[in-house]
Amino acid sequence: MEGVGGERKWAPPPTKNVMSQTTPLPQAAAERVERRWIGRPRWGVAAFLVFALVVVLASSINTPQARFLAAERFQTFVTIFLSLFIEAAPFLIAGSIVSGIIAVYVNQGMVERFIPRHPLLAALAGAGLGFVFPVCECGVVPVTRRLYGKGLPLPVGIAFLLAAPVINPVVIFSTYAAFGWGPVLWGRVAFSMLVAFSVGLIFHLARPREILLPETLASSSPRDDHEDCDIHEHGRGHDHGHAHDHDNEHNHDHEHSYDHEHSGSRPGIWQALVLAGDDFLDMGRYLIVGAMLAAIMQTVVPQSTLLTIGQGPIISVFVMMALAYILSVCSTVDAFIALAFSNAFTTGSLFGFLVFGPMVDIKSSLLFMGVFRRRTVLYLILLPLALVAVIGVFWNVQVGV
Amino acid sequence: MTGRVLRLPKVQAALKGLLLLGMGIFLFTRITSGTLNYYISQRFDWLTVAAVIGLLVVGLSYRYLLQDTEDTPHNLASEQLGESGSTAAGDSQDHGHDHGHDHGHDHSHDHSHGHDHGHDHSHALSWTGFVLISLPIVLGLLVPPRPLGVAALQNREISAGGLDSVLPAAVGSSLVQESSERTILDWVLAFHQGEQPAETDTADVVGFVYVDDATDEVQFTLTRFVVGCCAADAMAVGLPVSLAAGLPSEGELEEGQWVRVVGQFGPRGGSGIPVLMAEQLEVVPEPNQPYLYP
Repeated sequence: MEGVGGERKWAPPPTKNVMSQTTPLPQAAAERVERRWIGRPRWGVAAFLVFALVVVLASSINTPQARFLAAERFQTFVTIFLSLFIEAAPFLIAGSIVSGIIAVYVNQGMVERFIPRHPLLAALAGAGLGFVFPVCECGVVPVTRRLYGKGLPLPVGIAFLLAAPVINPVVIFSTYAAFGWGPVLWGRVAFSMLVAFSVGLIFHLARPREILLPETLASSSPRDDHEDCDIHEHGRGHDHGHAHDHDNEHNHDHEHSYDHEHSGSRPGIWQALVLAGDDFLDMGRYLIVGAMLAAIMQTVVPQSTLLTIGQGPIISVFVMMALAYILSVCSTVDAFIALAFSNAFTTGSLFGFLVFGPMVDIKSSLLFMGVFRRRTVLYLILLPLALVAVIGVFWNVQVGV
Repeated sequence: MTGRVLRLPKVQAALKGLLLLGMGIFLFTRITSGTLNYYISQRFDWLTVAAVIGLLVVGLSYRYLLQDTEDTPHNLASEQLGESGSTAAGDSQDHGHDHGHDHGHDHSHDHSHGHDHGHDHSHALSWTGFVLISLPIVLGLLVPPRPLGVAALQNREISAGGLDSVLPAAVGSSLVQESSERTILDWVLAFHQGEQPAETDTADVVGFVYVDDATDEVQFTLTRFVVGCCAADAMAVGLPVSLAAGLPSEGELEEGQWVRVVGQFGPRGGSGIPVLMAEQLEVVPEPNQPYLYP
């Protein structure tokens, strides 16, 4: 009940726009509280409801034949769920470790030094950043979140988030292995860059506070510039709350003891690893919910329904995008899956699968929830959807093949 | 009550560490039990090994957090103080986290560090969070590992068309030529590349029985799943099988049963794939690698 009320309140209060991002705000504390009210637990609850539903569905059917089938289906669900999870876990833990290392060893100045100021260049840099951090769609999320914490400009992060799953050596190679040199490979790379760049640029107009979760933003306070304060950023939101609830002296005090407790007794790499663990568990929840949804879809919705309705230059693009969204396969291998459809579908429709899929699918949109506000997640789904649809349909109609 | 225990920094650190270790161990058991390939392609086995190492190292790093907490013995007291503040403020246990925190400070500034530590992880997990994360482990342990089977075919097509493109030319040329060593996938691919079965070709293939569109001449489809990366992208390939007299009829064969079929190919059936005329059929145990890889 309270949760529902909280959600309505969740729209960013107008006063925030006036504040600069780096000033510690009383709102920060208030916002955190609001977020708590509607925050994580509800996702857990939602996941459990879905899970419970599956179990109930699987067990409520009574004839022995049906029960056997339901049990088999549940078995299939578990296998697909675990396969998605097991496949994604290595990438997620790798991304988390990179994120932890960034947290400890990269400071804000470094990010600012390497990212161009001009918005066009910045978005372009973001789209190409995948070559520096070769991560797929699961690993990219914790890395992006951490980089935001280090003051990465909004458009760069968005472009990175959307482009990196395709614009990285591994994925380009697997696409090459599947399709060889040709329009599919070049189109995939070029259109992914284009879409990521455009969406990134659109977000140039937005204010980070309205886009990112308070926790993501939490660490972008100037105090973070102290090298040895790095673990501190983890709890930044809290500290801001205190700084305002109590006098500054107290805050100081507490910071000192905090540094003693941690930096003193623990080498940096362990900090990085603990942060990596936190990131993995944090993101893992979204991954698990996403993998479950994808597995349910795969167990319940027949693929043929999608494929049989999906002909014609326009519908087929959307069908391929829907398929990519539902399948939620890792971008490192989706080229091989697209190959299976390359006969039945035109190149334009394949772009729907190969460009849209790595940017957004069930799994990654759930992961986005850990970084962005919900409305932003919606934009991050809809903007690439619209752009890729336009590209795919245009290709089908104009270029053919 | 339980909610409060969970908020203790030590409990958080310990549970998180254990969860990560547990996940690493769970994946490790999948590797050692040989069931890992029920889920992912062989090609990515090394990734899982890397994940196990990563998870164990990360999980162990929480030890340091535990040691740190031991240095500040008063944090438990402060935690309780803070929580009593929160209860007084009338917050619900599940959501009152931050409120409790602030109130606690109003009462006792001195305790802030220990207290802070516990809450400092903006990523503090709730019970539901912990349960959610352990869900793969729980499901993996409760539901015995099984590869995809007949049930998964219910909403998948057995690929006949479209398969010829599954393999790019480069891979296609490395197709196994020795007919007795060809898998179902090899045969299906060969037929789709226009190859005609020679009189001398003897197929010796293993797959599971799928009785779906049985006709007079085709008793069942001998099926395997082809997995590109993980079971989520599994695609079924199958050869229509016609049983010679004297072999167990379709009624005696259980659907999903793994069998080895030896025979020669007859004329092309309805699906465009020559029908395999089984001369020998024997029931075999499920292979260690239930899927085929392109």
